[in-house]
Amino acid sequence: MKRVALSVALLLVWLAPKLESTAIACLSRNPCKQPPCELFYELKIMKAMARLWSLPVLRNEQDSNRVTAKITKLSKKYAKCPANYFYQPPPIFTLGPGSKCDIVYPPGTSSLDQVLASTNTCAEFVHGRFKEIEQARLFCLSNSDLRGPLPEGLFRMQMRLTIQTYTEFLESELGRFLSSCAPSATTSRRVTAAGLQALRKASYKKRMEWADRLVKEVAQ
Amino acid sequence: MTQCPSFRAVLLLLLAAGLLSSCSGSQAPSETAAQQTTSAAPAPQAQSGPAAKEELGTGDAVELAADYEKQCAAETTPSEDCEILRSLLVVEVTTELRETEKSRDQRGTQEALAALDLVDEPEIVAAACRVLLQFPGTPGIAEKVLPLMLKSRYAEVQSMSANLLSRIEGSELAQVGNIWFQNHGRLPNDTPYTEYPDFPAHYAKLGFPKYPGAQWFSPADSDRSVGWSTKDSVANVSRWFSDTLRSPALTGAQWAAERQAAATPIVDQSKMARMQQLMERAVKGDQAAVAEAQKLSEEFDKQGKAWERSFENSVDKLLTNQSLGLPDAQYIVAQRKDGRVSRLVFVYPLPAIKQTVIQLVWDLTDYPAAWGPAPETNQ
Repeated sequence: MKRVALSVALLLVWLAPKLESTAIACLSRNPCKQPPCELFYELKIMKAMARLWSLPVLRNEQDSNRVTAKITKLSKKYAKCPANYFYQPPPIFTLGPGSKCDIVYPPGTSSLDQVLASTNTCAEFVHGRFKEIEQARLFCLSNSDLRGPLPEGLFRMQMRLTIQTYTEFLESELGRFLSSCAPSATTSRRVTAAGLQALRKASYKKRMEWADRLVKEVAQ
Repeated sequence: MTQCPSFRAVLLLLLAAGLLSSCSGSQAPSETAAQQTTSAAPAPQAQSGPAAKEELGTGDAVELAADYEKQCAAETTPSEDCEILRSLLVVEVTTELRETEKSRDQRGTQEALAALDLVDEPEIVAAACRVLLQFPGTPGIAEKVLPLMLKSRYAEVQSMSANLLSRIEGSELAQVGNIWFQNHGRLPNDTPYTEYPDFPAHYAKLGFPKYPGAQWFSPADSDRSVGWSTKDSVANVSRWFSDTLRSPALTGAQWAAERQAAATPIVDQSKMARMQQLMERAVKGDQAAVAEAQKLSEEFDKQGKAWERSFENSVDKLLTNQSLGLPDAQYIVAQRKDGRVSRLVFVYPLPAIKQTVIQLVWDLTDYPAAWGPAPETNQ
């Protein structure tokens, strides 16, 4: 009897990772259940990337790779996430070469369902990433007559649009949680005050000159 | 019992395999999030494989703010690392302002007002405006948002400021916010960082005279106009334009009388009478009358649509709602073409800011739009 029980336990242990190899819905049906912190972290880091692509900081693929590595390194510390061994990264969809702009699925998969069935991550990330690559495909198709690398302006616009597609998708998924559960403003006010103070102190000369001019105009 | 050691070994192996399997390739979501950005490129580069698992930290936004201040406050030009930290902090502050907005806690107006000082962070300013929109009676709003509406380089900031200003009950400045809104319906505003458009490239070719000392006034900009303002009186300004353009300055009543015809579709009375006759015959079963009535109806429809397109492009379309609230306005026609007012100088007082506004308006059938997709034209 003991041996049977042990065999069942063994079977469960053996199966556990396989059962987990499926993307799960990280947002509960209960709108007030706090979503995993990784969901917010993912959203915030991508919004920060969107901001960087909106400024004349990033220009091309090389900048993108370099800053991506930096932001990943710099932001981890402030993720406010406890250690978590469940999540795998969101899958990597890419576009094939040439003017067809075909979506290339992650290795070992050939459809969105297969990706969802084989990735330990939030299903919301997978769906968001897929929407992002669909947006990239549209952009690729509309510029398929261009040869060589995209001009800087177009490249920046493409990056902004695709990242925006992803962040808007995550925000819409989070919408029910965000709109249903009235938070307390106490923490938000404390963080806002700290953030504003730091941003003001580290405002660069050019930025401040403009602000000073506005303040003077108001005084007049 | 002799089997026990090997059974334990198998058990341990299986457990280890299970744990390894569940952990392999694990990576923080954010890591790939950032890596993924390149995957959206039309000609993607080879992607690096999943990195080894790195745990996320437990530090929060307050810690981020402190580190940012420590590392970046002394910089005179932003380094890439500081720009990245600033981006993360901007997102944190924007998120928290959004939380404050949702909480509807009036105490949050204190931070929101302070946030309006970060004039070069449009996401933060827009989020702060949304908090303040819940409490438009908060003292000190108008003084902060008026310059933002007039001078901000960001379309989103101007728009949010105008919205907030227009909601301040009992304030004369609300009218300025309303004017901005009436004129900016077609303003492109893709992201919070979209810059407010410069003067249209063809502006000089429009040939409007430049009023001496006038300053650019964004609330009177539109897809078919550029706004200016001056401290001179409406009478002096309209007289100057009237003399320069050799065209009379019309009052609101005179302008309305002149434009009444343009604001109504022209109906050919003989064709209307013919239509009535045909309908009477058609009711009696005359098939020839039915066919002719159908043809005439299609002609009316075509004419109606052409009139609609013409009106959409006209100066009348822009001024219809706006001039109602400006009884002291003056109108100087700078150019007429094919029965249309092709270029117009619209002058009106704004007592709230002690300025006279000069709105230089053109018809989009004759000249390109200043911004945004142009409405369909007759051409």
